[in-house]
Amino acid sequence: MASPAPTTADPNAHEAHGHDGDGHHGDGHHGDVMLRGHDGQLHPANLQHHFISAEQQFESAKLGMWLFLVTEILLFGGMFVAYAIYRSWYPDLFDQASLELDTAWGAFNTLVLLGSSLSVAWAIRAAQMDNRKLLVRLLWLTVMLAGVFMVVKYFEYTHKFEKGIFPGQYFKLAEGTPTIAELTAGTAVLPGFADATAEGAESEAATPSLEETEAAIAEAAGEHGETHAGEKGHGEKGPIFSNPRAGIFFSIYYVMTGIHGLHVIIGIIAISILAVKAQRGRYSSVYYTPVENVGLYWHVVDIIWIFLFPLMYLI
Amino acid sequence: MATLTPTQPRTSTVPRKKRSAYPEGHEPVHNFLREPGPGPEVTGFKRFRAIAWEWMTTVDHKRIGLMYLVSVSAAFALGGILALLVRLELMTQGETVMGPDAYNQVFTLHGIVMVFLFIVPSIPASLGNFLLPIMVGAKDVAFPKLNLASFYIYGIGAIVAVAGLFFGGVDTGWTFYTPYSKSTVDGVLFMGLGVFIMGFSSILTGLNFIVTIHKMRAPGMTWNRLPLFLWSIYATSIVQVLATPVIGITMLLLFLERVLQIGIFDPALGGDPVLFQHFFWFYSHPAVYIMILPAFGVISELMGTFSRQRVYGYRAVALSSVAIALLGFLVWGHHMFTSGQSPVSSVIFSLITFLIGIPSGIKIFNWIWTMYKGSVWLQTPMLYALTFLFLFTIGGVTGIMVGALAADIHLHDTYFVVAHFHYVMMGGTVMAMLGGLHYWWPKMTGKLYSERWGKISALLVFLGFNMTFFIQFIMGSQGMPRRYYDYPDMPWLEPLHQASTMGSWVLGVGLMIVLINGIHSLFRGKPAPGNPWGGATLEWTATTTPPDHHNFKRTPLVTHGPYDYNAALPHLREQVSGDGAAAVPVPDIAVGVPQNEPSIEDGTRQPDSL
Repeated sequence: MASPAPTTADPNAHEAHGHDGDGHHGDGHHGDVMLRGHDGQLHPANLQHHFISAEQQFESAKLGMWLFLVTEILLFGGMFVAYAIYRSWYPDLFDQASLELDTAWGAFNTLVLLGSSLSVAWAIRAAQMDNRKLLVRLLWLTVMLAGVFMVVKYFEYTHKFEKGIFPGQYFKLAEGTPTIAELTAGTAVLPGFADATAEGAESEAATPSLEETEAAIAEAAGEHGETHAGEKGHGEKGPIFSNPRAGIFFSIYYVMTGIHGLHVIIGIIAISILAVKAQRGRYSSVYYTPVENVGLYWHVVDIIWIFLFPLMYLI
Repeated sequence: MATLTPTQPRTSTVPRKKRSAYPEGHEPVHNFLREPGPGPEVTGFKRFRAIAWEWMTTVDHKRIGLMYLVSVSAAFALGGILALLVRLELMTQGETVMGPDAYNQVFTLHGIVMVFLFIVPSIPASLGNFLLPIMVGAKDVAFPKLNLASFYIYGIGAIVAVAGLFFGGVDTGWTFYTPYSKSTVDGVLFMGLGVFIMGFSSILTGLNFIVTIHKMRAPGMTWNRLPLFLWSIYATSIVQVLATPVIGITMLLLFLERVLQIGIFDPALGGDPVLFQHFFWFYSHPAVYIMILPAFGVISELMGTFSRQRVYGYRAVALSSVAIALLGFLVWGHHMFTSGQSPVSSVIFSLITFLIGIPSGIKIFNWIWTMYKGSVWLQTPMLYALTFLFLFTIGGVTGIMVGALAADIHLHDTYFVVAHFHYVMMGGTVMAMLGGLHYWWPKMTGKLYSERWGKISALLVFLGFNMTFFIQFIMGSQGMPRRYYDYPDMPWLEPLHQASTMGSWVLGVGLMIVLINGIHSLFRGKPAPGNPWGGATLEWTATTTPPDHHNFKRTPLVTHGPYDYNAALPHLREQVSGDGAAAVPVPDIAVGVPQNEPSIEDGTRQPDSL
């Protein structure tokens, strides 16, 4: 809601009336874009009607953006908590699973996003310096780098889908690996585990106890893992394919990187809009709030990846 | 200043029936309910359409507040009808009006509607939206468009949630606990998605309020002059911004759990259903403070104004809101004492739960101290405030009881807990909302409601509420489990259930009277004076009734605290006696004399109209 403004900038009027309100501290250097409001007074062109000064408007927008970013952090915070809990419960699972992620491409993507953070920060500087040409170029560069990130992500995802790496229940375990459901129900039992359940069946119910199930799952993961490790020469399937819990890691992986990817796409859209508007000369050292705020958003998208990369790929 | 051209106020030229004449020269020329409005040349259906469109696209915080008020009231009515059905079913043993499956759906829907559609947005989104910018002396919230967006997001979320009814409904209870919520009917998908969407609305409202309070305060409005209502809204907003994203991701994960079988909450895939409970309560316990903190703020305002005395311990009351908001993040585990979480964490959660009693107690004692030696004026809003004090104290003390680890193992999932949280939520938040609504109704609508019917409704609500819920403490301690359809093993509970159900009817009648009284006042009510209660905050002293489209003619300059009645209303100083007579409406703060406070010249001047 820009000031309801019937007239365009009038430098003379600015000279005469630019300083009449003690609320407009900034008029001295914001003077070249003044519009006359319906109250007959001059206001900065981008000043919305309910703000007293451009400073107030800028600071409000920035505080609002920071608060929004806090909510983003908490949104991902929930997923990081899930990651931490399952990692502490199943450290082997996370070790095995990270072998399936391509560290080289992950590192490349990390560099790409760091580069895009630099370009967007530089773009804000360009806006402050009134360098429109540089601003537009840097914004498009940021969009391009974000696009590269998504393309790499696309190839990473499709490669995993080809190998049968899906989240949760749809994860394709290696032939003969029992699922947790089967182990819990006692229907599929491993060699050596059969005796234990047979004995237990007489005294108690047929279902194995928690400890027994845990042991069975650990055994399944360990045993199959070892055999596959031995024949690593011809089998492209790592130990994770024999871990009944493999789906959990990849659920977390797909949800976290998926939602992060969604944020990247939103960022691409937002920065593209900025670039088009910048081309039309909407931003200058007087008014560049959207550039600043989208830049902040982009840094958060970047920093979430900075945490995702080592947690998923490296450790 | 050279080209100051006052626009002609349109409403004065609109021909309309002079049903309720304002005092001569005191017509509210700039009335946000009518302004800007279509010109007089637009008539008939086109006029109706223009006005409707103007309201639907408004960015005026006052109009958005009223639209929220209508929406949450509708949600409250829906939830209330469902509650009456639940009570009716439990009146006799066996099937009374519905079968067990229908019963499960009705109590679940009652919970979801009351929590997510009504009580979370209730006070902040309606009264908060209306009052916050006026109380800080601003023209609007910091992000007016975002404010409107949050209203529509709330509407979409509500529609999606209720649409779940057509896809099997939900029978999980409002908590959506896994693993049951993973395997039951598909309505869970819609309800979960609806909660997810409404979460965004809550976040955006909270964000807007925090920025407004930080950046938009009028000159002289220091933090220590902020009305206590705003302190509590501020604390609420912090919780909204910090906690709501977590319910967002929880509902998203539940959604994916059902659609993609990701297994994060499913033990059959290696996940953990208790993790869902942790996530859920990490939001939903702080959400309890989203519900009650604004109520504290309303009560502070009422206690001050209707005792004709500054609120005792202003800073303690203000900061205790913030303390509750922060402590509220550390106690979610007390909902999970019986979930099998580690005993050590249960003990710690229990201990921190007790700590919340301290700031809550600070508030209660300060309110009582505010009334002490004040001139208590027992108008309808004050009756609700006293009801709040009584009921919330019971709710709070029983909260300490169920917060005690050993007692909770016995009382968990019984009607004792049901009674406890209804005393806090309904006896606390709803009573405060009713009090606040009666207090600010003249300001919002420009009309006075019938004081007599207001008092009758307050009495009926008080009696009906206690009849309904106090008995549930007794039933719960005798072992009546919550969410049960029937009680075949406990026939001795039947008379208690019957008394409780009859209480719900009294309560329902009381609330109906509130509704009728309000609607009646809109059409037949007398025009309200500018400051009918003698309040000292800016909405009473510095703007018209109903307020100007732009809130203030000029930005007010705040020179005194929010409860400094002597400074705000100096002409009343000699009249203060012991009987509250001082707060009788006085003519010179009547309609149309907008600026009782000094103001500043900052270029925000509106066209002169008076």
